[in-house]
Amino acid sequence: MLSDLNRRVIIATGDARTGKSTCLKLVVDLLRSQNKSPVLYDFDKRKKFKGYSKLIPVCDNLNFFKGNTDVILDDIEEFDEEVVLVDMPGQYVGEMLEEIEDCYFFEQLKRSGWQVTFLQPISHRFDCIDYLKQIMDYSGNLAKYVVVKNLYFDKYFIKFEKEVSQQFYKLGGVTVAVGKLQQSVYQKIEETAIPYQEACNSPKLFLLYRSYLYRWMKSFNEQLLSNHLILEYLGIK
Amino acid sequence: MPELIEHAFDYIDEKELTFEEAMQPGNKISVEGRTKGWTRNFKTAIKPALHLLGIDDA
Repeated sequence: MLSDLNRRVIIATGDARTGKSTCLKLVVDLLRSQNKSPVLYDFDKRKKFKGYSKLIPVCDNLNFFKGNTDVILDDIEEFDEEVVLVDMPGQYVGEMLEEIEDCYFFEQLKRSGWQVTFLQPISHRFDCIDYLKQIMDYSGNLAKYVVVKNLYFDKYFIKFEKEVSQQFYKLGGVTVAVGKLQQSVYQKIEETAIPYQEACNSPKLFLLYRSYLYRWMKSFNEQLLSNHLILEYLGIK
Repeated sequence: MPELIEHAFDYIDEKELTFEEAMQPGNKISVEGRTKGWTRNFKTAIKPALHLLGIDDA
């Protein structure tokens, strides 16, 4: 039965350099560890998923401003997979919502048995909270929301707590935190373009780096796996 | 008149569909969605001129 499946389109949103691609990579590794094979649509031009294309189908070279979101809608009816990940370009939240409106995105997905989760990393910058608010104002309870507090940037997210948390939790939103990975470790992993899970065992990285990476991933994964709402929102359960 | 995305317009042309038909299930899901969105936007845009066309704004 189609309705028995938890088929999710997970859209990573927010301003640039908050960790959208990083969070998606972590989610890909987690999904794969749970025997799920997602499909990834990358609207970001920086080709950050090069290493993951050998593990999962990665559809890139998409142009957000040329209606390429339609590619997702047309592909989705053919999928056996239960999770689709979308890396949106940073900053264009207004345009993204217009696109959602123009192609009846929520309605068309729902008809095919899919639901939407917005995955938004937040940093110390205030913009990301404004973006989150715009998304929640527009989408309301048509979507689910996961906010990832990126501890690389800050420990406290006062604007989130003060201005949007009430609305966020009312809509069933869930927060998790992604820890601070040392910049040198992060850079090295990005340079090697090896998927995170694989990098934990790769001789291309110093043992110490691998150890940091492993602990960083473990801490993130444990939060996700211990929260039944997140498991649902990310299409794991 | 709002713009209808090119691939949807081409699809409708090629299949010789009316806009109403293009919004029905069985077509490409993106074409259905785009046509619904375009029709909604068109209805909003034409509202001020409905009386000139002899149409009641119900």
